[in-house]
Amino acid sequence: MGKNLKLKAARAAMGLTQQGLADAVGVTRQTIVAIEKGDYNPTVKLCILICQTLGKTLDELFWPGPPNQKEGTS
Amino acid sequence: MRRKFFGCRNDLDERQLLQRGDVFQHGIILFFVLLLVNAFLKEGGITWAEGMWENLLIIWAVIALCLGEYAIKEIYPIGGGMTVIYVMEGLCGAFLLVVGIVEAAMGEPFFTGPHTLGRTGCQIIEGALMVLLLLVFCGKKVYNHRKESQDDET
Repeated sequence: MGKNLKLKAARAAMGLTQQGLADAVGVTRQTIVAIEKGDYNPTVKLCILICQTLGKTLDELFWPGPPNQKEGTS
Repeated sequence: MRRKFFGCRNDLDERQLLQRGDVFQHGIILFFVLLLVNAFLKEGGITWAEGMWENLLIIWAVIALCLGEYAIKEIYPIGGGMTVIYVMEGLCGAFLLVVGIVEAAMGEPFFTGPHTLGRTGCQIIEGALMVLLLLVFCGKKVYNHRKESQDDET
């Protein structure tokens, strides 16, 4: 699992630190660090919370490739 | 579920809960291995520690592994609270260590037999384990403090 740069960019765009985002979604800073580094695969519940906090959709933050690949039309 | 423990919330986040399971697994495996080794040694007529210290040291080895992994993997409650536990445990360990060293200096034997640790030896080992845990905890805190700004930048 690679680094989640989209999450990092979205967080930075909102002006949030890792601790700020962690406080907002109710996890530890280390969990946010692990998600951004790609070391931890969060549950859908946490993904949704992060998306709601950052004002993004699941596709925008957590879908690995371009959105048109999600329906399996390669 | 949110419960109070030493006046602090002890709820863990989902990553911490997952890792806590791994830590318990490691603890149980070590416990069974040590019990097995102890049983084989007893069967062979070897008593490696005096009296109850055999059992106490096995239990402490398992606790030390679990608490050490807790500190390294940062499985702390979100509201904090583990610092008190680690500091208290470290201070108790330092006390045991100092008492053990003083007793050894006063002539209490470290070993009471060819393969048997005496009370003083066991006490020193247990104290050293407890102090080591506090050092691991403090080391991790210092490491985190230094990494915190880097993580936000990279």
